[in-house]
Amino acid sequence: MTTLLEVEDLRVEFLTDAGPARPAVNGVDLRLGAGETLALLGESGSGKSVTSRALMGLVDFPGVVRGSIRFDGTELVDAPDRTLRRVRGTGIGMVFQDSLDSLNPVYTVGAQLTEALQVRMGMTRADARSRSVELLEAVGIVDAEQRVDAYPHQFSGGMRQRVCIAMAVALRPRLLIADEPTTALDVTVQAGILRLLRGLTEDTGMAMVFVTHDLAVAKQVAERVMVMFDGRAVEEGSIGNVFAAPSHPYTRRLLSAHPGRARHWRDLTKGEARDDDGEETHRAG
Amino acid sequence: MQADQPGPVLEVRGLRTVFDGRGGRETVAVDDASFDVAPGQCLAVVGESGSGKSTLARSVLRLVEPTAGRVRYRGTDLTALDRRALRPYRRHLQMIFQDPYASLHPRQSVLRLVSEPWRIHRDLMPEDPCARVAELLEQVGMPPAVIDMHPTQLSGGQRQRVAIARALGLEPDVLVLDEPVSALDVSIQAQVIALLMELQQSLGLTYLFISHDLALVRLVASEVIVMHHGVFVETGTTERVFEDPRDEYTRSLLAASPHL
Ligand SMILES: Nc1ncnc2c1ncn2[C@@H]1O[C@H](COP(=O)(O)OP(=O)(O)OP(=O)(O)O)[C@@H](O)[C@H]1O
Ligand SMILES: Nc1ncnc2c1ncn2[C@@H]1O[C@H](COP(=O)(O)OP(=O)(O)OP(=O)(O)O)[C@@H](O)[C@H]1O
Ligand SMILES: [Mg+2]
Ligand SMILES: [Mg+2]
Repeated sequence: MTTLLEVEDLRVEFLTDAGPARPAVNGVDLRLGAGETLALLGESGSGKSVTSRALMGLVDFPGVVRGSIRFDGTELVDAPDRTLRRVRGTGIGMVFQDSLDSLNPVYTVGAQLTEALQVRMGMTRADARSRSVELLEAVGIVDAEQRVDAYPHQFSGGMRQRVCIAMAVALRPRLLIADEPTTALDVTVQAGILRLLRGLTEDTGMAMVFVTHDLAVAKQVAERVMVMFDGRAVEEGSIGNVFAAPSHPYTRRLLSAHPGRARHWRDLTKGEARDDDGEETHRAG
Repeated sequence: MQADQPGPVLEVRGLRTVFDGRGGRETVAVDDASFDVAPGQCLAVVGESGSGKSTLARSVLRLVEPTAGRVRYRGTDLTALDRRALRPYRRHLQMIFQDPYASLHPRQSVLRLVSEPWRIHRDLMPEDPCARVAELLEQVGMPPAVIDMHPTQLSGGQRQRVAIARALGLEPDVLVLDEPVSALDVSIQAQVIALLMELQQSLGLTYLFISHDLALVRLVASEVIVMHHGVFVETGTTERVFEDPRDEYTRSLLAASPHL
């Protein structure tokens, strides 16, 4: 399979007044071919979102990105804005973790979708509008024909999250980076979205990096998983192998903290050593 | 607080919330909802995306105005009060929102965020606000050092704990939790849930717990309401609903829960 994305020794540091902080991403390697999906797991603060944003060239000052990110042969680290603008959207699409707030509140959802389709895909206004309705239907918005003229605040939390997914896939990106895209969704609606995304990887060869903290979700979308801890990839392999024999303590804890495996809420924190809290607190400070 | 009074903390009757849409199209987000919440109980509301859970919660607190129906809080009809008369009741009923990224002002310090509500509820203003904030932070498992930090410097789980500390500062009676942990990593999720459950026991709080995560609801709630298209399709004790779901939709929800 031809490699679509090739990341070598990716490092991201945020500069502070006192000099560089400890790296948020510390030497990550990653390869992805067309049609492949990688699930990115890892504890809060381990660098999943920073890695994702780096792939889109969206780490701003005081962040410093080093290493190499080649997308379809083009180097993206330190690439000129012109190159990044061309790649973003139709080359690499992204659903942001804070997608609940990433819609523009002053335009209708339809206006936002239609504009992107007209400007980036060269569609006529009429075509863009009917495509927008189709996209909303694809992410399970009922009455899409009417809803297309509603403003973001008139949608429920989970509907807004789905609108963001519709926006990202509208431009048919060759690589989709989805950062916790289904956290606001119940299992039934989530299953529909995961099927849609899987369908796109199978039918159009879209590759996907899917960030999640939910192992059950990872299992539904990806064949490969990478587990991050403290800015590094500490575990990588086929989902089946990693789940059957997790080697890193964090992966084991993730498995045991899943509510589906607990009998009482007290069970949820059993696997955790006390100093975890302290460490997390320390790190954010 | 009034925890010694008998009877439900919340009595909701015939609550209905309708949104106007374009061209006269209406969305009936909540339709004829009636339920009681007993003191110290954790009542969960589950249902698919768009089923009306958040609107139900907001309507109970009058963060959106219900179109019809009554909400009684310890005997007082909140729906009959004008905005001004409602204000003193607000502190008893606090809401924690799904998105810790959006619910805290990014440019305010933790100290400011937690002490802000006391400017409105002046009778609760502590003698030493700084010390009280530190105490509240300790209660949610945060070190005093975060007092000068801003939300952008905190992880999702820490932000949610700040939001909880802020609500606790008003010494509430009822917490309405709208998907309080769904945006968080499971291990952090576990910490926040454990914190909420411990606080419920130690402070005798009453919870209205909104969630789409059935596995989690099973662990925390004593009773469950299942919503579908704005309507309650099933209510009952958690055990009963999970063991012996009577409604078709509840059964499909349970069946769709992924297994590891
Ligand atoms: N703009 C920024 N300035 C300074 N530090 C940052 C910035 N963005 C992220 N960081 C730090 O980088 C580290 C990694 O953060 P990141 O958001 O990638 O974590 P994550 O794995 O996505 O966590 P979560 O599961 O909570 O979303 C954290 O320690 C965070 O505090
Ligand atoms: N301000 C509003 N104006 C118009 N319609 C609204 C408004 N708020 C909510 N709605 C509509 O009411 C219905 C119920 O929305 P609500 O936010 O209560 O759902 P929910 O069960 O919380 O969903 P989710 O799990 O996705 O958060 C939806 O159809 C939504 O579009
Ligand atoms: Mg993240
Ligand atoms: Mg909601």
